[in-house]
Amino acid sequence: MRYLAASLCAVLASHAAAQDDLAIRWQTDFARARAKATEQHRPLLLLFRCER
Amino acid sequence: MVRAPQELAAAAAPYECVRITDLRDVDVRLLRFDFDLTLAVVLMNADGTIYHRFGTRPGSDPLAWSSIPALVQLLRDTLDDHRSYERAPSPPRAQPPLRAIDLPPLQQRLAAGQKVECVHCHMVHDAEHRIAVDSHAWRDSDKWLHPEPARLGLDLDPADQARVRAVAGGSPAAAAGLRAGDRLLRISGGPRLRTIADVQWELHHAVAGACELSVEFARAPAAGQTAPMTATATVVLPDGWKECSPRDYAWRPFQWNLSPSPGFGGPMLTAAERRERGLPPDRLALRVQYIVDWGERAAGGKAVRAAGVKEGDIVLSFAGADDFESAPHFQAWVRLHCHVGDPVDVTLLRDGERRTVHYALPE
Repeated sequence: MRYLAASLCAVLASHAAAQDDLAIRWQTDFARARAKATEQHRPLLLLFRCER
Repeated sequence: MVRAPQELAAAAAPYECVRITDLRDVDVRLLRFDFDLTLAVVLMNADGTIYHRFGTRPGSDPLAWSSIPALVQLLRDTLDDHRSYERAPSPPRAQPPLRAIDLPPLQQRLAAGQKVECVHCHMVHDAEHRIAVDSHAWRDSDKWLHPEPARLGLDLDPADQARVRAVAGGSPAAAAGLRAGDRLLRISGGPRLRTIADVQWELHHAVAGACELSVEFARAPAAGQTAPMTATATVVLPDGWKECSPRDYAWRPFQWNLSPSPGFGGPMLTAAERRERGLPPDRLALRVQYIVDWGERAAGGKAVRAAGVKEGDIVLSFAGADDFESAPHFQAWVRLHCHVGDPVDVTLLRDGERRTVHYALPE
């Protein structure tokens, strides 16, 4: 469980992962993502991550 | 076993995924969660309806309630919630947006020429606390943020977070008839619960005093039956039910808003530093790295300095207590256990000699 939890942080925080077709395609513009979600009737996944 | 990160990426694929690392432009009227967290997930509809929150933690372990399998399952389950909601949407009442950076305390910092390079999540808590204090709306019980399910006597399964793993004997949840294996569905008629953070959100908004919570739950079918039973338990909570121990509160950055303060801060000595000085491994041994003699609390820090505390001193006991496992635990204990003006004796180690100083606890 601890390994998986640590992996969660690593996976969700990784910028490099965004380059991988198998990884989550993160956006940074909430307003644009929200407009797209409205248009396509998709839900939103927001990750708040302190990286500093 | 879920393989990461492919299964997580696949589960997230139906979502518009947004990563936010600076709350500066975030509408804090719309997007709300436990702002003390350094990692939080919010799943929502574009109309502003929040389906679920994920990523909270107990005091003991920052990662105990966050795992890839739990998040993958939540993403899958929330798709069902989304489809169901889209058939009969009920958008929340529209409010004018409020960017975090526009909160008055942050604007005051900017007006004073201070830089705000990043609006961290906890800064929203700090600003809202300042606004509440200044407008005399702050109540002392408001400091009990996002109570853990343990306050009811519930131990929820980190891998299947609405499922009750155990119920503490003699607890309000036990008295209400909740049992291990039950699945929490709703609290006080609120939205469907799927995560520990969802439960904490509902508890956060319940009154802090004595009250009753109606908890809707599902229970596995009894012998000879096929459908799970759905029922509502009334959990009777005593005054002060939201309160937790300083140990459980210590991780919260919000504690720095609370009074009183010891007037100083710093880290605990390392194991090697303790051995060098012949100090026990598990008792208070905090190096005074700074005395708070600046800003709003300057008067208190100056009083501490006048009492004889110096940077570099090692604090061995404070108001008769020395059972602290970390510096944040010590700071939380002072803020939650003591009162402004309390007289305290502080035992210090300086140049190999012990000495005791006395002062009244500052704000």
